[in-house]
Amino acid sequence: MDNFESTAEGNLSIGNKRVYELRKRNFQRNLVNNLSFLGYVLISLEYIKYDRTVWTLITRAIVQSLISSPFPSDAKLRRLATLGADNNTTGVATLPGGRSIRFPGMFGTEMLYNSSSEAEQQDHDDTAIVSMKKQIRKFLFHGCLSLNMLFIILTILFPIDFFEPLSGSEPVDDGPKNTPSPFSNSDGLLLGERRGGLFLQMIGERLPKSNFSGNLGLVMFEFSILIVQFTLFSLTCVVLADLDFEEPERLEPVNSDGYDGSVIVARIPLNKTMNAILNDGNINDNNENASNSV
Amino acid sequence: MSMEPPVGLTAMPVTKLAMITTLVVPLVASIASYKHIFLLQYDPFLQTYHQYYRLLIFQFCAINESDTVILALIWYLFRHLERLLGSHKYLTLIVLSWAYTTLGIWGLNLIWNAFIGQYKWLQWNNFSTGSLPIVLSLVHFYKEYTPQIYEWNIRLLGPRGGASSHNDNKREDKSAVEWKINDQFLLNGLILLLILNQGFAGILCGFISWMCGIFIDKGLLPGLDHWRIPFVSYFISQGPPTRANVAIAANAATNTAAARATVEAATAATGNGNTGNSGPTSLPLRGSSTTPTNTSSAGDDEPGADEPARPLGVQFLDTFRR
Repeated sequence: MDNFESTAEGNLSIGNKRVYELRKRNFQRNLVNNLSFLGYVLISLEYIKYDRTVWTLITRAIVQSLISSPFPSDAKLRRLATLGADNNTTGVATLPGGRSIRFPGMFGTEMLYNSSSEAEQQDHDDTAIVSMKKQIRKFLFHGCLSLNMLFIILTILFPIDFFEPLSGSEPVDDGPKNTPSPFSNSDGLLLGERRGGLFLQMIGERLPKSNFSGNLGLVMFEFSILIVQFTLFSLTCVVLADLDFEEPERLEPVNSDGYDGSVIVARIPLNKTMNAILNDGNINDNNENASNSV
Repeated sequence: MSMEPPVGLTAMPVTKLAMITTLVVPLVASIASYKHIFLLQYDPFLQTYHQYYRLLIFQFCAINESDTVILALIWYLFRHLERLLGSHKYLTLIVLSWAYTTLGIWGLNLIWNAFIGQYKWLQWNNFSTGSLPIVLSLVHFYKEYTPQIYEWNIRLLGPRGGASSHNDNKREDKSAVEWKINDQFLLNGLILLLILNQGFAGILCGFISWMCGIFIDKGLLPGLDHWRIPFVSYFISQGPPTRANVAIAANAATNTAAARATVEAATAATGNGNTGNSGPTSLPLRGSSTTPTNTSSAGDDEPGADEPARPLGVQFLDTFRR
């Protein structure tokens, strides 16, 4: 009876843990989708509200899309790695002692021990895949951060004059200030509101109350876009990428079965994200030095 | 596996109505240049011109396009409330929120401007636009009755070391500043965007509306427990499709099919009787196939009888049938 009870409890615990892991993975996907959607909403609202250019909208949307799903499938990466390996003229020779040494300039047809060579080829492909993923991650990090910083700096250095189209008809001071007027039809304004743009916005958007509040809102929008995109990058490229991030050891044992609302889906350390990117660069430099010396 | 409501608006008529209203009313008002009647301000419209109809209609149309987009998205995320409460109660809740938030905002505005607002720069002049008060009232219900599914953490501070030993984890956890976020961050973000998008008026009206939502839930503002909006049961569906509903629909369909079969049998019998009773008259399409037999059988009795008159379509069909 004791054995049966302990066995039942063990089975229940194992089942709970398995269901917990399955639900955690599903929730991770849901989290990525929601965060990506929030980024798209912010980008669209910035375009609608502050009349940014269409190129700004398209560029930000492309960056958001790349961060949402940063890596191609492993099949494509494996094919690319195999292509690189086919072009490589380094052969693998196995010594009688069991060790395998790479000789530059050898032909591939002289490989010995197919099973060991296949296993080593698989490891080589995996290493190449990891290296490609790290390069993609580095490129996305620098691209995303540089683009957002560029937009923020440009907004701060060159603030927008929202009332420049209203040059002919200033609103009266003591009346409703930002109420649209049917007599304001000028550059970009129709009935006193911004309605134009590429997507024929029929509802219209009122001008801000003042230039200061308008530019302040614009900067806040751009900072929020930066925060959301960096968080999404940390989630997709570092925490959930299975490259070099190790989830911190769990202090308490998991007694949850995934259905009580206390599933901790992800733990994003932002400082470790930047540290990982910078160290990854250093590691790549070390690898390049090693390969050069060899 | 996931506990989220299904994507889409199947069997959610109130959410559909709310989204359509949120999107169509500003569009039509803007095209017809009538958006200004939805703008609610104290100084020229209520105090001077006494246009009190604006209090009744200002929640139906958001002046700005960005507010319209945010409100439509929030209404879509609130479909979980309709799924939880049922369509009839959800519609009642929306109507009650609209009434109580309008009265609350108006009353507090009058009180404020009667006493504190005597000075010009302390006057409360601007109101929110669109269905922000209703949405902020419903946010309380969403927070109260929607369970948390998962949570995720963002570690803002902490040591930069990459070691992951036990002691380092302990010290790291003690010194780190973690920001816990749950799965409803999308709705929280949209609500925050909506409130900040409308400035101080959004913050003030939003807070008042949220308090109205709490009072409706606790019973201080009556109506939700004992009253349902009348005359709308016919237009609201019976709820999401379940096994019982599907069975009821199948039974109804079966009954309809049986009735149709009975009608067809009666029609066939009537056609046969008609054929037997009056041969020379114009016959329906179904009975025309029996005419040649009847004619041939009656050939001896009436040698001079010719074929009965047939419409042109029937002649074409008979020609191709033979």
